Amino acid sequence: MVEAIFWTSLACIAYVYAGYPLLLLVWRQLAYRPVHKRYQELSVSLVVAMHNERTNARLKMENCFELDYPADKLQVIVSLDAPTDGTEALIRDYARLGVGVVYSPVRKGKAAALNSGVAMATGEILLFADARQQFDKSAVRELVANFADESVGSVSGGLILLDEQGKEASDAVGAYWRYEKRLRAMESDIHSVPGASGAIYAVRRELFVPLRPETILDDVVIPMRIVLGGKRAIFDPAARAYDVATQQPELEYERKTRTLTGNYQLFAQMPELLVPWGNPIFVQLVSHKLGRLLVPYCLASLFISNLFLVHGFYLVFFVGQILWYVLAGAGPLLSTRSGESTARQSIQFGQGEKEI
Amino acid sequence: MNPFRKVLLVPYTFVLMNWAVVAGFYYFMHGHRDFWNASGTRRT
Repeated sequence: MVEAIFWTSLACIAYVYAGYPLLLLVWRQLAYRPVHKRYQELSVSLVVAMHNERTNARLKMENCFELDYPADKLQVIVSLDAPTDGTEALIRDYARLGVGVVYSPVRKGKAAALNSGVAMATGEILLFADARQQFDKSAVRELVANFADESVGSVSGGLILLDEQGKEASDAVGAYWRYEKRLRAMESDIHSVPGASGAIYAVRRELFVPLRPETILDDVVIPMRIVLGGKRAIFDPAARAYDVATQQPELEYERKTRTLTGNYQLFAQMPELLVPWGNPIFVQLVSHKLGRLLVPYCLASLFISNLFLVHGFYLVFFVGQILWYVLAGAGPLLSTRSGESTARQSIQFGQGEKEI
Repeated sequence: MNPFRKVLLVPYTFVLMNWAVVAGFYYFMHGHRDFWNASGTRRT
């Protein structure tokens, strides 16, 4: 019995982190579905929800004006969700330059702010972004090109995390993010990605359904609704947005907690996602999203079952687990001693746009 | 950050990210952390 628990737990963890990527590798070889991109200039409404973004608002607006896309085809809308730090005054300067501004005096949350922004949108394509990240100049053009393929309903761009030297981050968080993007690329090649990057994703206007105000993960709910509706939600790494990587895992933990709370909410709000014959990416969703929710419990059962199995291979494995958790326990000392956090990083994952 | 420290932080990051799953479940059940809000918009 104990051995069964041990091996089931180990198999579950191994499947989520290694088996599933291997399955995708094979699956992509057998069922590759290319996206037929064609550069075109559809009208686009770029919607940015902001709460307290005084430090990011001006940079974001300047970035919007620098995009390589015809100004008459790009509507920029900022939906202000009861800011208290002066963001409103900064954004009003840009209203004179044609930026649409929606203001809520009462804090309603990001989903409601996005709904308000979309209500003002006139573009054929809705492009959603967070305040903090910067778009590559060609990002809009790359995203929109994917909509030439009628099967595509939603496109997520690729978020690139940069370190302090401006290179792609190579620490644990950066490596995890690169792994995540590879998974998304393979899922996209097969059919669809179960979720987009909130920093940069676009959808066809006619496919947008207003979000429930309490929604935490708009960037998962919107693409998944589109997939259930019969279109694809793809990932295009050529449409890039940039962010500064946190070098303190504690800050990433804050962001991750919010995302994972949102995943639980996703399954509660949309139980139809768990119907195999109703969800064309059921295997991907279960393996990628639900699997991650099970891993910590598998880790716990793996450790506990290993306590009763201390001979031969199991003993070696147990020593390995002990070492792993001792190193993990030393992590806070290493992390706080690094002293490399910056004010910008604390804005990124602690107080910023992602928390509204 | 020096490469040795980066490697040493991997177990900590892994455990922390998995702990976030448990914390996420707690917040989902209790509705904490300002994830839920409500009401009123005016256009300018």
